[in-house]
Amino acid sequence: MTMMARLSRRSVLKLLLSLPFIDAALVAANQIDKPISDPRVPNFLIIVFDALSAAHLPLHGYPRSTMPHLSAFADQATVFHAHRSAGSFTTPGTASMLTGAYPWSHRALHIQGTVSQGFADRSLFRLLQLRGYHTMAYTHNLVTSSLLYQFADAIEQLSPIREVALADLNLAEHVVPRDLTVAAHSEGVLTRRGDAPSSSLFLYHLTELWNRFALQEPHQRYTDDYPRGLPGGHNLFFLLETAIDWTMQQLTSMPEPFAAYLHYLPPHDPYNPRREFVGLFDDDWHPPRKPLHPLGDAHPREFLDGLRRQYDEHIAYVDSEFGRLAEFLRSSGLSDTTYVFVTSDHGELFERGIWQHITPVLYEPVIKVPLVVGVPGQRERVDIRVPTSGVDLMPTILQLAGATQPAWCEGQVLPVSGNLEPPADRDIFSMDAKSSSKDGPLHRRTVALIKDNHKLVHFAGYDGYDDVYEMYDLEHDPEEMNDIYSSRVETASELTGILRAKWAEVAAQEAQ
Amino acid sequence: MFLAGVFLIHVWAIVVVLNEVPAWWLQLDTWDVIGAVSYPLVVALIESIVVFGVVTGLAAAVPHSWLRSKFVATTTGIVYLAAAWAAVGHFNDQLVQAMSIRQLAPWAGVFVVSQVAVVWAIHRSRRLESVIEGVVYRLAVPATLYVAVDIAALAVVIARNVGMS
Repeated sequence: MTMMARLSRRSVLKLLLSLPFIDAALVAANQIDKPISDPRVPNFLIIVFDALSAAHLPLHGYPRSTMPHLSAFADQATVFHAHRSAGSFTTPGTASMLTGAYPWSHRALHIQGTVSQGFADRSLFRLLQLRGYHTMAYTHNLVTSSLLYQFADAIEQLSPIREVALADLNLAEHVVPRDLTVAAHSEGVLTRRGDAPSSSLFLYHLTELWNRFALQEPHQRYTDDYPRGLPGGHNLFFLLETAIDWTMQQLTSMPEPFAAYLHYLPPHDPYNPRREFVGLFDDDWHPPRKPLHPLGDAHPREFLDGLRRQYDEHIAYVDSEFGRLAEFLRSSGLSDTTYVFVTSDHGELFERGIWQHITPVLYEPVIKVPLVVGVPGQRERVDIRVPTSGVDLMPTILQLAGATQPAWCEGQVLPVSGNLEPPADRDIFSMDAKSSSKDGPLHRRTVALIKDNHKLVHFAGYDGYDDVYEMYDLEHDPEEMNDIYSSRVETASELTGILRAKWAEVAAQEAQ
Repeated sequence: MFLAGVFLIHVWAIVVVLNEVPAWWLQLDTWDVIGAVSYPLVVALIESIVVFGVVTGLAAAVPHSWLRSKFVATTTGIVYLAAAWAAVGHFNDQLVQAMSIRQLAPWAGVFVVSQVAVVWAIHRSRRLESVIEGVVYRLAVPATLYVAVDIAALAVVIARNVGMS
């Protein structure tokens, strides 16, 4: 006899009557929200340009005109001038935006890393989905893919990388998407992502040869337009133009209200912009000279200055495409119903002998990222200068969506849409712990604390640079040239105390 | 000959993969590390089969006296010399990547000449032939073990992708 057959009419009636109470109990237990029924609720569009440093934007005082379209967009938006990513590279920075938690909590600490199991169901996507939003995500970045696939149950429209690629030579996402992260680690060994040889003695060479032939046609077709090579990275080649066209197409047909997360790889290296941007910044301007850092790579200045110029050109290319997207949002009317967040997961460094962002240092160019929020109906620019963090993105969006803030959230609601400014003395953190264990204590780490105009950086566990503090006055020394940790004893002592107290909290959390 | 290829391909794969394991331990749990190791092992098994197929096909295509008359020694010689060239390629990967197909062509010629020389040497030297055969027989046992490990790795890969993970 089946279960249904055993149920009497009375018990079915009881069950039906108790359903609303069960639902209410579930909502209360999980702190989730009831789905919205108001059709006027706003949409959310989060646009992430990977590795876009705020230090390279005219909006924040950079002398090269790298992003005029973003500046124009900012004229009718809210601009956050002291916004920091919670991490110095994609994994921690992105995970913090999408969970509202710092890396020490969500534990997405490594390249191709994922959040801890406890956070797999704590994403912005899940909370907005429960609120009735149509959730959508796309990324060019395989590292971000690992996170998005971890949140995939809450993303109704998760498009594969290949969707807008000219050529995608990675296999993990297509062959074994259920096991993407682990397979991507293996693929990294097979396809020689790094300096070590491939684990495949023969097939590696054959596939490389095959790839050469496969890429010959697109390379030839686009060589005039992209003289430095096709934009891409990580065995992926694409045009940002195509991705923006595709985005516009998706936004046109997306059910509302929607929450879309679009994570484009440019201006991440390789810096291969369209021809019209090559040589755009062949000028006489030189960045301030800074001393080498003991944990840096000692790249020569000329090398770094050349790469900086190429990076700036690549940003200008990104900006031209952003301009098209912004115009589309305006002309389609979406900007009247959609909060548009333009930001980045981390910045990029061209100083102190260091290039890129895979580095233990946390200087401003690598953690300070843009955050420009286009608010429906906003006609004048609002400038917010207090320190804010990537962890604030989720609570801000949840508040705008009328959802409850979850208990795990470590961010604060940002002052968009007429809210109050967050308190000026708030503590903001950024960190790197890629050499520490995901599940154990973070023995090797760099943690930055930003409070008011001061920044304290603590290096722990590095050979020859263990338990070292650096401190900078960001108001009077925005280039972080003078380490004042030893000279401003009182401030140093206060900030060190705050950082130690925070770390004691983290250690207690780890011990649990 | 198949097992000789298996041995070489797997020793290379295992050494490279084990080099990565400490970094994987930092961020993956035990089951995931087993998974991350399993994928390259499955690829190594496929690679062994492909290499065996190519060499066997080559032996079938050329006159009997060239390869088939001393099949184990000549084909093993070919595979091991090709492996040496492949290793050189791995350690000079950036240089190879920067070379055009035209620049690589002379090296392909040198590769073929070296292979012909090895086959010729095996045909000329009974001693060389017996040394190679001796080595192949000694490698048979560990290579069989590697195949068994590959089958386990294949089971892990299947398990991870049918929802058992």
